[in-house]
Amino acid sequence: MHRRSAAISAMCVVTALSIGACTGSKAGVGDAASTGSTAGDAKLGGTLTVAMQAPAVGVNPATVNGAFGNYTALDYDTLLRADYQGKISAGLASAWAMSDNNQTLTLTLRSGVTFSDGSAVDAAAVKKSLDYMRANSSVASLYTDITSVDVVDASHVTVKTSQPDSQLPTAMAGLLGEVISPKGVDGIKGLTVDAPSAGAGAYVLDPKASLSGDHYTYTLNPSYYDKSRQHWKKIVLKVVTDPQAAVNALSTGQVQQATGDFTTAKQAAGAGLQIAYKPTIWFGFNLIDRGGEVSKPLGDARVRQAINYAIDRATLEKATLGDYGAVTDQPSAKGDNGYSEAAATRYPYDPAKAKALLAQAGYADGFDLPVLSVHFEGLDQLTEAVKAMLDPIGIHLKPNYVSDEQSYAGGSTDRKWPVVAVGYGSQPMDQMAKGLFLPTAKAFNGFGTVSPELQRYFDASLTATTDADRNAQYVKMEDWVVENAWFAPVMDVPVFSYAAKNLGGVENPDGSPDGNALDWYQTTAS
Amino acid sequence: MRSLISRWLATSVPLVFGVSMLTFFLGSLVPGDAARAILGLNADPDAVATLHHQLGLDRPLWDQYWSWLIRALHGDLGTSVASGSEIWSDLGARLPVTLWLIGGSVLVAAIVGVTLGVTAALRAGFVGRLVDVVALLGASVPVFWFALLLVTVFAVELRVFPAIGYVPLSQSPGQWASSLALPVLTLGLTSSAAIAKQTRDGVRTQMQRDYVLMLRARGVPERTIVFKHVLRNAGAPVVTLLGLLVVGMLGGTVLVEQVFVLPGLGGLAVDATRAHDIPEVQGVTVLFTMIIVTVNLAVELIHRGLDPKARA
Repeated sequence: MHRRSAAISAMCVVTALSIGACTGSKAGVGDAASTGSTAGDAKLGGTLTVAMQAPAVGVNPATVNGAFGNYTALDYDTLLRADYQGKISAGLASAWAMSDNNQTLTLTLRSGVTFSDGSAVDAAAVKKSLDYMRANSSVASLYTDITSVDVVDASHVTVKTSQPDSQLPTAMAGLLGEVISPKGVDGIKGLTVDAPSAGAGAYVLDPKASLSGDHYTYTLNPSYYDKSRQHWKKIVLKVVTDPQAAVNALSTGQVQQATGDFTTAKQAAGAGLQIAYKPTIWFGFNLIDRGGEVSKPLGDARVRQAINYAIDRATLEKATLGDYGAVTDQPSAKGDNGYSEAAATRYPYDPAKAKALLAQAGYADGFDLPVLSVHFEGLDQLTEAVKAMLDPIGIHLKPNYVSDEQSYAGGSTDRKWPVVAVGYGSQPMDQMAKGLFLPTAKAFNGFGTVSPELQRYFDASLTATTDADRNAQYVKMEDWVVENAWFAPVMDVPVFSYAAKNLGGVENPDGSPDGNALDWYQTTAS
Repeated sequence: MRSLISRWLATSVPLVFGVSMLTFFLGSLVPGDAARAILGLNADPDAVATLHHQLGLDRPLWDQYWSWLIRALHGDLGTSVASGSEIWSDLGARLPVTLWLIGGSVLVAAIVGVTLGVTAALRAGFVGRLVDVVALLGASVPVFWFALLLVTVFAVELRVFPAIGYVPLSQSPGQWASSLALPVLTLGLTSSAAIAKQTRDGVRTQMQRDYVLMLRARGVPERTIVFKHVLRNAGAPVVTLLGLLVVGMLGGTVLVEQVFVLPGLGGLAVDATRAHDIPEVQGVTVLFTMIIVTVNLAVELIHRGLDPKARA
C-alpha cells in the first residue's frame, strides 16, 4: 500500500521538495561556496539519517526515480543549481550563457574538478553524460528538443535546441544535469548499489555499507570542490515505507528527517518535531476527453465548466485535510509561477449555474460519465464524494476503481476513460505544461488534446527575455486551462517534511520544505 | 532414516519446482510490468515499451520461465530487474535477519507457550483461568497492532529498545539483541497462545493417564512426573504445532519487518512484488519454500526422537 502511495507521490514530492517557482537566468557566474547552504561555519556533523518513502529504483541519474532525487543528488553533482525559487547558480559549470535566440546554452566548466573515479570533469565527459541522459534516461522524453551537445574546448560545452528554450539552464540543475563519468556511462548497468558511484558529487555511495532496498550509505568525497555543501561525515538514506514507523524513528532519534503526510502530522507535532509543509499536490479530476471522443458531452467546454461549478470544494477540503490543505480549481499551487489569482475564484460552488450550463450545452437531462479512479491516497473516497455532488445536476459518474498503479497508468492512456481521478504535484509551469497538458504530456494528456493557444503561450514563454514576460505567459496558460476546464481540481494536499529539532536548512524562507539533503546541517537547537 | 530422507527429497524437489512455476505464472497475471514500475507512473508510454522489450518481457512466458529455470539449476538466480543487484547477494544479506527473527520468535513462543500451558493444566481455579484468558488474548490480538503497541511503549516512551532497524550480530552483539527484541516479542508472544493451548490440553490428557498414577504410587516427585514424563508425551503435537508456526511466521515476518523496518526476506518479497520484479520474487519464494521443507524435515526428526513409535 505504501509503495502505491509513494508512486502517486512520485510526481508530487519531487516538485514540492526540490524546485519551487522557476526563474531562469539568461547568464551568470557564481561562486559555488556562496550558493551553498546557510549553515555558515557549522562544524561537520556525524551521521545524518534520512527516512526514504521507497527503495531506490536506480542509484544513478539515468534510472533513478526523480521523486526520490536524494538517491543521486548526493553523489552526482549538477552542472548548475536551482534554489527553491528556481534561481540558477553555478555548479560543476562555473558560468553559463544563453544565446540571444535562446537556442544555445554555453557552459563554462569549473577547472580541476574530478569524478570520484579520478577522471576529469571536462567538456568531453560532460558531452558524453548529457548525450546519454537525453537519449536513454528516464527523463529523455522531456528533452527531445536538444539537437546537439558540442565540445568547444576542454572547459566549454554548448547545448543546442531545435526551438527557443530559455529553461535549459534549469534543466541543467535537474536530473539531466547530474553528470556521470565516462567510465560510468560505459558501464551504466553496473552502477547499482553494489558498485561505487561515478559522479562528482559531495558524497560517494559506499556499497559495503549499503543494502539494496534497505539503506544506502554515502560518505564524504574528499576531492569535492565545494566544502560548504558537506555538513556530515556520513549520510544514510534509510528506507522506511510506513509513515508511522518514520515518525516513531524520528521520535527516538534514529532518523533526523522524513517526508510525512497529513495522517501523521498531528503526531509529529506532538512529538516536538520540526514540521514544514506546503499544500501543493492537487487532487481532483483530469477531464482528458476534451474532444468528446468517448464521452461526447465532455467535448463541450460548458459541460466541463459545469462539473467545476458543481463541486463543493470547501466542504471536501475541510472534511479531508482540516487545517493543512487548501481548496483549488487550478493546477498550480499558490506561490508557483503559473498560479493565477484571477483563476482562483473562477469556479465558486454554484449548482444552479452548473445546471444552466448543462442545459445550454443540450444536456439538461444529464448523462452518464465513466471515470477511472484508484484505491489509494483517498482518490476513491474523493471520487465517491464528487459523484454525490454531480448526481443532482444530472451528471452520473460511473467510476471504475483499480487497485494498482499500473492498471491506473495504463487506463490513463488507453483512450477508454474520459475522466481520470488524479493527484498531481504542482510544478514550475515550464515543466508542468510539458508533463500535464501539452501534447508531450502523454501520461496525463491521454487523448493527446492539442490547443494552438496553449502552444502559442508556451512558445512565447520560451522566447521571453525577462522573468516577468515569461511568468506572464505562464499565467496565461493557467488561465486558459482553467477557463476551458481541462481539469476539475478540488484541493491542494500538502507535502510534509518532519525533522529533528537540531536539523537546520529543512525549510525554505517561504516555509515550504527544502527536500535536498545537501542543504541540511546540524544546529545546537534542542 | 534413509527412507525418511528419500521420502523427503521425493516430495521436496517437486514442491520447490512447482512453487517456482506457480510463482512465475501467477506473478505474470498481475497487471502491469517491471518496465512501468521502474520508469514510474507518469513515464512516456514509448519509453515503457522500449524498456519492456529491453527487459525481455515481451518474450513468451514459457520462454522466460525456461531461461530462468536453466540458470537457476546452474545456481544463477540472476539480477533484480528493479535495482540491478545480484539476487543471491540480496537473499544472502537478508536471510540471517529473517532466520534470527523466526528463530527468536519460535524460542519465545515455545518458552512462554509451554510455561503458560503447563501452568494452566496443573493449576485449576483462578490461576488456570487467568492463563487461559492471557492465552486467548494473545491469539486474538492482531500482530500489527501489538507491534505498534510495543514500539509506542518500549521505544517511543521508555526508550528501552530502538523503534526501527537492525544491527548485525558481527557489528555489535548488544545492539543486535536490542534491535531484535521488539520484533521477536511481537511474533513470539502472539504465537505463544496456540502453543499454550496445545500444551495445556496435552498435559491435562497425559495427567489422567494410568502411568501417571503408577509414577505417583511409586513416590516419584510431581515435578519429575510433569517435566520428565508428561511433557515428553505431550510434546510431539507441540513440536508439530511449532513447525506449523514457523511456516505461519514466514508470512508474519512481512508485517513485522515493515513495522520495525528490518531488512529481511519478507520486506524484500513485498518490495519485489510491488516492483513486478519477478526474478527477485522467484528467488524469495524458492528460498521460503526451501526453509519450509527443511523445517518439515526437522519436525519429523524431532518427532522420531520424542516418540519411539514414529521411528518404526
